[in-house]
Amino acid sequence: MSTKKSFSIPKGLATGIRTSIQSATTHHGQLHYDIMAIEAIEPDPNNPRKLSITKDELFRPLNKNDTHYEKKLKELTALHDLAESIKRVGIRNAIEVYKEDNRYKIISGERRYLAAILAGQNFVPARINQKFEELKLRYIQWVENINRQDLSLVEKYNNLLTMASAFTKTSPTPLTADILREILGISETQAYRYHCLLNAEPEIIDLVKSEKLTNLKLVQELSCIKNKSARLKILAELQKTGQEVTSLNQFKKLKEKKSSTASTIHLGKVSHPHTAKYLLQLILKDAKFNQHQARFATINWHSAKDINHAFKTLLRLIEQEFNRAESAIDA
Amino acid sequence: MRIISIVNNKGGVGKTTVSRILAEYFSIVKNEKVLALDLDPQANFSNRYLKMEVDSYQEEGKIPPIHQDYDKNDPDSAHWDGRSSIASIFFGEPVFPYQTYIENLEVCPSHSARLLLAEAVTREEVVQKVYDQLAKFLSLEEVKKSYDKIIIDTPPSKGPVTISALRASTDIIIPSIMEPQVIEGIYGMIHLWKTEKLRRASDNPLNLIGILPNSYMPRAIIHKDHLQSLKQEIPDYVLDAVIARRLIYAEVDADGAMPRSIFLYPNMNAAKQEIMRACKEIEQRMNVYVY
Repeated sequence: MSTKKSFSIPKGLATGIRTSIQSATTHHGQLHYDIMAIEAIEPDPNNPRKLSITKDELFRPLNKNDTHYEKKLKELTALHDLAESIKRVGIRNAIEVYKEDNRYKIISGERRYLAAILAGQNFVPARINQKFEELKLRYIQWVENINRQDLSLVEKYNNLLTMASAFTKTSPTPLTADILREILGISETQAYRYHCLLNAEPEIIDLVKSEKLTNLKLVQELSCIKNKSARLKILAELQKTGQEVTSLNQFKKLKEKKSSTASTIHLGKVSHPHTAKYLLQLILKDAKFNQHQARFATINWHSAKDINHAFKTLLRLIEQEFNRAESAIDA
Repeated sequence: MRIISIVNNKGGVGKTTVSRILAEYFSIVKNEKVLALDLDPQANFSNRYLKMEVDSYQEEGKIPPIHQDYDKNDPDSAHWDGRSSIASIFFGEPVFPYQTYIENLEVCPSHSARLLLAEAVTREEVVQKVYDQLAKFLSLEEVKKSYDKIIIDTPPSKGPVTISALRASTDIIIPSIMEPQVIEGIYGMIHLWKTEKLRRASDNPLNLIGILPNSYMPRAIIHKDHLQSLKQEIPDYVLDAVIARRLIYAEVDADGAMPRSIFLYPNMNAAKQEIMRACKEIEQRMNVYVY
């Protein structure tokens, strides 16, 4: 009989000890939370997402003549709602900050921060990060921002610009659509469209900035028009249009519809051939048109097709006559 | 200044022995200024350096003796009763370290009843206060200036007082006997360490020096097997040095023992050699981080 005993640590306990150690060594400092004095915190001026309200405007009546008055009013109302909830239950999700030059700047949670000030709080819960390298910081802000429903294309563009400039600072290679897709974790199509936006010509950017161009897909379609003069023409037309345009197709349709309503006139339908005959004869009696009488002599007044054809010809002749008269006046 | 806590939520695994070894190593051998803190209500660590008194009207009633500098007739001393324990920091009172018979070693003794009180707090705000109190005290410029090392003996628990020690520390060491129940206790401590390490800013790490096998019997299969299996799981966090089970540690604890520290034994003493090896390894493992 063997009397040799052997012992070991139970498997579950061993795993618990090992994984706890791994977690501590690899995620060191990642749950650094504190209750911070609100005055130690400030918004990050380089965060591409700009709230329309600033800290100074919280307690000042809004100026009605401000071009962003509506937007600001909406934002402020929402902040007051949030402040009410903060008064009742406090801030449930810590805001995220990083340290720079003895100040803490907000990575995410600017609205919670402003609402806390409105609610009269002196302290907020915060997750404190070390300063990230710039690209990573912009990336985190990008992720925070980009999935928001209420982000406009111009805000997305600003996001993208800061991301891109952070990228070019650290990388010798240009920022391609592929790299965009990789660092942002978005689809190929989306990455391609953002890349178009990033490299779009000033005319397109102007449209984006003036919020006439609000659709990313349209940006891509526009930058893909090879013929420069055609492209600029469409851009100029876009600049003029008052309607929201979401794609090139829609824009073309919109244009056609507009020109037809503006310049063509339907003369309407008649059901009796005599009406047509009467009109035709009346017009041909006019001095301007009686020279054409021979052309209409052989109409079969029982065939609608014949009559239609005849009227088309007649209308063309009348239009020709008026066009000639107009150009004569112009001259 | 390094702050080393000796932790394990199991009792009787050698926390006080290791605390004592480190306090004396740094003060006697390395000639550094050392402050020993006794956060254990059992007050064994304090008792090695001070003659603790018993308050017979209190359970667990060890109280610090009258302070060397206390003079009843001095008007400057009117604000205190002449006894000072580390428990005072949890109550927002000043602390006066006691000089010990070792020149470079001062001690802030335990106070059983008051430490038990601090350990028993449950109200969230109070608990948070206890957590941070020791760290606040030890980060005082005055304290930083006065000492090179702070050695903290902790109670056998995972309660607020132990957590306060972890929060204050730069390094922790987990003494353990290589037996099943004690090793179960290691898990609790590793978990506390993890929580604290994740919580802290990354430029202020809490260094886990490692697990120090104590009361080790090289011929006991259960000790050998457990040590080996622990080394397999977490090779970087088990010390190579071990402290063997020896009577000498009890002997230097006894009243009137001569010499009064293991480091005052001759160099050829096997126990002293073993302890020196352990201390040197601990020092090395502290160099992972520079403070």
